[in-house]
Amino acid sequence: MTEPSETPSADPPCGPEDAEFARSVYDQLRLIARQRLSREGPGHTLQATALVNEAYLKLSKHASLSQLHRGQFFAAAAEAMRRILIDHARTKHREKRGGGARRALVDVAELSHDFDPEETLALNDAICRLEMEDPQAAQVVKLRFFAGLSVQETSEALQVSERTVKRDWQFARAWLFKSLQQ
Amino acid sequence: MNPNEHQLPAAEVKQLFSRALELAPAERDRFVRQECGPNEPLQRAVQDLIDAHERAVGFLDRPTLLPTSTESFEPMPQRIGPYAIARLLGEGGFGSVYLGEQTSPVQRRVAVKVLKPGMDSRQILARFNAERHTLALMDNPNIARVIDAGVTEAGRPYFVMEFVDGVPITQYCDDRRLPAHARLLLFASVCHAVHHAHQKGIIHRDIKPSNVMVTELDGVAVAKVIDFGVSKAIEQVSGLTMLTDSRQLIGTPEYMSPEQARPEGTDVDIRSDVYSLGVLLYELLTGTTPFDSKSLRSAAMFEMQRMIREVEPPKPSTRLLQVDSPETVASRRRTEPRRLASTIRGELDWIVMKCLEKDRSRRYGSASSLSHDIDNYLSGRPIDAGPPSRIYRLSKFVKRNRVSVAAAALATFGLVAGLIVSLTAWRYATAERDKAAVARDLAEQHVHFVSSMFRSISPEAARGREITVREVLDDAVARVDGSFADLPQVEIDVRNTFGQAYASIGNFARAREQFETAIKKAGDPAAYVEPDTLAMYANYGKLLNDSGDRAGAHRALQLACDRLASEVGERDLRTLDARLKLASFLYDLDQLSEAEALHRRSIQLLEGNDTPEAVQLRLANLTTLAVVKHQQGNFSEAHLLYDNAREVASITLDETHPDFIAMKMGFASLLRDEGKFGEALALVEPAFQSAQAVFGPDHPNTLIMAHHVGLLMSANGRGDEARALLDDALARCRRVFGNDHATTLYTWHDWFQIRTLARKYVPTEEDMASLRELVALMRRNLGETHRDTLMIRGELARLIGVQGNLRMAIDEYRDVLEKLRSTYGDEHHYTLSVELRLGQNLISVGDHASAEPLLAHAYDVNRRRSRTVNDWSSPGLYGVCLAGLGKHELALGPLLEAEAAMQRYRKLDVVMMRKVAAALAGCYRGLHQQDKAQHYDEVVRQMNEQLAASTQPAATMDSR
Repeated sequence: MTEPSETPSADPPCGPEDAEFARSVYDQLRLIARQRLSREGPGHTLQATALVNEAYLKLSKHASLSQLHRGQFFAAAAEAMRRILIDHARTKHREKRGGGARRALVDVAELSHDFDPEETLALNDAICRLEMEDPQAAQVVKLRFFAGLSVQETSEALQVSERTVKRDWQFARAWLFKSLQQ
Repeated sequence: MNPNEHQLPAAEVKQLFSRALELAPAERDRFVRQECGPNEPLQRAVQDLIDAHERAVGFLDRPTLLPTSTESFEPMPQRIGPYAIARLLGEGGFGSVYLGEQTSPVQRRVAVKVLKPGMDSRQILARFNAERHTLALMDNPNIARVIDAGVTEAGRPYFVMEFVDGVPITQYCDDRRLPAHARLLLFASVCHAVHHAHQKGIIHRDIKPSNVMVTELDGVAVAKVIDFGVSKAIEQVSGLTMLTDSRQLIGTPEYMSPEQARPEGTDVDIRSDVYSLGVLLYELLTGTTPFDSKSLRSAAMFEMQRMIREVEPPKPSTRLLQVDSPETVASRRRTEPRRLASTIRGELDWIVMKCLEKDRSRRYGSASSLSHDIDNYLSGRPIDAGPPSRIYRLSKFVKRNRVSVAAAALATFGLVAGLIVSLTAWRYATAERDKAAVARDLAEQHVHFVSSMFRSISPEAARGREITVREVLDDAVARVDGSFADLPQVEIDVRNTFGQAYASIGNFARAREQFETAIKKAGDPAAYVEPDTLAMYANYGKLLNDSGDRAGAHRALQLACDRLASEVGERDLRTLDARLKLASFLYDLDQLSEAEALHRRSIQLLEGNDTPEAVQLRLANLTTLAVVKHQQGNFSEAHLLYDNAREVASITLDETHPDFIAMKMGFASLLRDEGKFGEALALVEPAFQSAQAVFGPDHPNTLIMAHHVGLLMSANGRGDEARALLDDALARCRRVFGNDHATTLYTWHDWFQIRTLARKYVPTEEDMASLRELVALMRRNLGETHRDTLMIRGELARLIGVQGNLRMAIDEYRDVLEKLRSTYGDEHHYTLSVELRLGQNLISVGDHASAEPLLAHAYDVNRRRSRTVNDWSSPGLYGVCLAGLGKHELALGPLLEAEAAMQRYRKLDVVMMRKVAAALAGCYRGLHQQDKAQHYDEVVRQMNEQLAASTQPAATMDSR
């Protein structure tokens, strides 16, 4: 059970999931991120891939999670990362709109040249729309973009061929790009 | 977005797009135009995607980077107050928790909880300091001590607590895959801890899994409640239970009691903690909270408060089947969803729901009464929480007494007396009340009376001398006499309960007294309208049947069934329950097809009724119908019915439920008769082992199984084991139930049977004395004409015969036979079986002439019922008798029939086969068919060899 302030549930779900499991992945990811940041101090960026791998190692030590398919874990991790990102984007978005002064603290996400709260929220909406049209393509995006999986890992997680993953990825990327341009 | 796109088949667009990308960029345009032909919207859609693809250079190229919310990005402090900070442990709604080191006065690790900015630190500290005294009084191994509090340099309040190196209780249980039982034990220790704090006047206010950590000490799980005293300090000052902004909650809505969710109020007492404990238990059992977190948290604040205050959450067993993945939840509890649901359904549901009552006066009054009820559940005693109906407690009481508690300590009969006093007091209050309230009170008082009577015999109640259920009952009855002058319905119900209790411990005479007193109160049975009175009358009918009063039983059962059907309808469970009793009666009379019709009708009427009581009735009907088919010799249909019953049972009942056990026992005896000894044993042995583990070796449920298992072990050639098992079981039965309890008597009976099945068994004088004692007890307790009394007398007669005293055996058999005939009729299968045995003994003394009519009768009846298909005793003995009388031609038919029936069972009854083969050889020789005679001589020789080689006891007709 997580504390309320960072529970992601206020965000409407995008796709089916095992709520309980998702929650523990989410918690784990956040905790790892915080521990790393508190250890290394500001100015460090955290790669999704590294975080997800560390979370996987930690969670797979739990007896109850070790029987999980890696794919299920990655799906949950991607979803958790998506939510962390979206929650963050929302906060940022609110701050901007409310005209509140920016905090002095530099946020990691802002070190990433292409992070923009509005854009992130728009991307999220687009992924949700894509999900209605082509759930598998949407899932590929989540795994690759939010959890940082390679094509090969994605194909393992979804149990489809790499070729299919590539096709889905190309399609999704084009679809989202087009959708965001409109 | 182009509106036409929505009508386009997405799959086709995607497919064309993918194929186009496989081509060189220059060729794509032409490809798309060629493939799409005149379909312009399709062409445009594909083309747009290709354009997007070409322009999206770098888009989503790298995986996302992780941002974190700004406030959590504060660097970790090096020190907080006097504590050196080692690392971050976690973060919560109130702030962050760090692992700190205390260096003086003692060196130890502590947890430091730093609150988020925005709370008035001075007030929080003042509040905390005011409580410090009380907090210091808490000394419980399951409570993490709050050591200190202070303010950081940045002006943020912090609390310092004993560091618990553990994980939240829910996670611990899931990681270890603890079954429900173990979870309950751990949970009970949490209740004790919370109760301890309550006694010191400290309410937690925020009990939830992350505040109940579990750590292991020497491999033993120890739960520790953390944060005691913290929430209060925060809450009372901030004045806010819930909200800061629309998403920012203080407190934890899933675990929050309705009174905490009131917008105006902080009117909280220990029962708020009881509520939160209930939510925790809910989650431990089902893996989810009563209110779905998602819907709770997505609701607006007032809506959320309303839900907590007003919406009745589903019962845990119901909720369990609604979660996303019941399989995962169940496997974390080492079971399957259906089984988990059936474990939770009923009592655990009630316990949890009592905690979750909106009106706190209806919850458990304290955490300790909650833990007490969990203890009750774990040890099989009735729980305090209950469904609206009183039927439960009565049935539980009766059920427990059917298998009986017996070895109970002498307890406060004053408790019972006290309840009678309160019943009496209640009388004076009734005048002003309306009828409904009267009825409710009546039910309530009754339940209390019965359950407290029951509780008075619980082993924990006192540790004095051991007493029996019988003593408890006698005492309770003595106190009831004359207490109900103005409350006839209460008296009828109580007497009904007593009657059933006496019947279940095998004391039919006293049972009868109780029923007859109730009947006297209730007046002319033909005029009964009250359904409970009619149900009582049905119980009376069953008792009459058990004690051998056939005519009386028939009258009572038929009347109860008819009246109930017209008063409450055919579908009412009380009607169906009475019908089940009527059907069993008909079965006992060997009116198998009538019994069958009743069972089938009931099964049909129960279709679609999924209440636990209905499912249980359905199971009972399926099981007894299976027994009927088994008796009729229709093994395949019996088999199907058992399969069906097993499915019903496994959905609803625990393996160790008495009805489940009964079903398995019936099924096992079918398998035994099908010659599948191994399968039969495989069915009951694991159940027996789990009963031993779950209930312990002395528990009635375990002991009831022991003798069945013993018989099957013996049939599987594990005679020594079987004898040891029964020696042990019998000793335990005597100790637990007393010497004259029905279960003891039946175990005793089987103990005998197993000893005597050993080949070349010659009973010792000691054995005979023991058997005579058994017979005397059965005569006294069950009555002269009870079928089991008569059967055990038959056993005595048989052993007298085995000892060589054939004349005396014959006299004994004759007496038994006469009683059987007059009580159960000429054609009851017991009557037939004794005819066969008597005939067999008469043959042994050479009195074939006297044997002939007996054996002819048994053979005729069995043949008419097509029983001879799977029964070789009656044709076999009749044939042997005829052969002995020189009626060779007449003898051939039955003898060949017996041989055919035995083909499948040859391994089973070598002794009989030898007899039949010898008779056949004699007949053929008499009829001058030498080759056939020689063939049977050869069979006889083979049987002799087998007998010599075999160490296996022959199962005889006695076990059928």
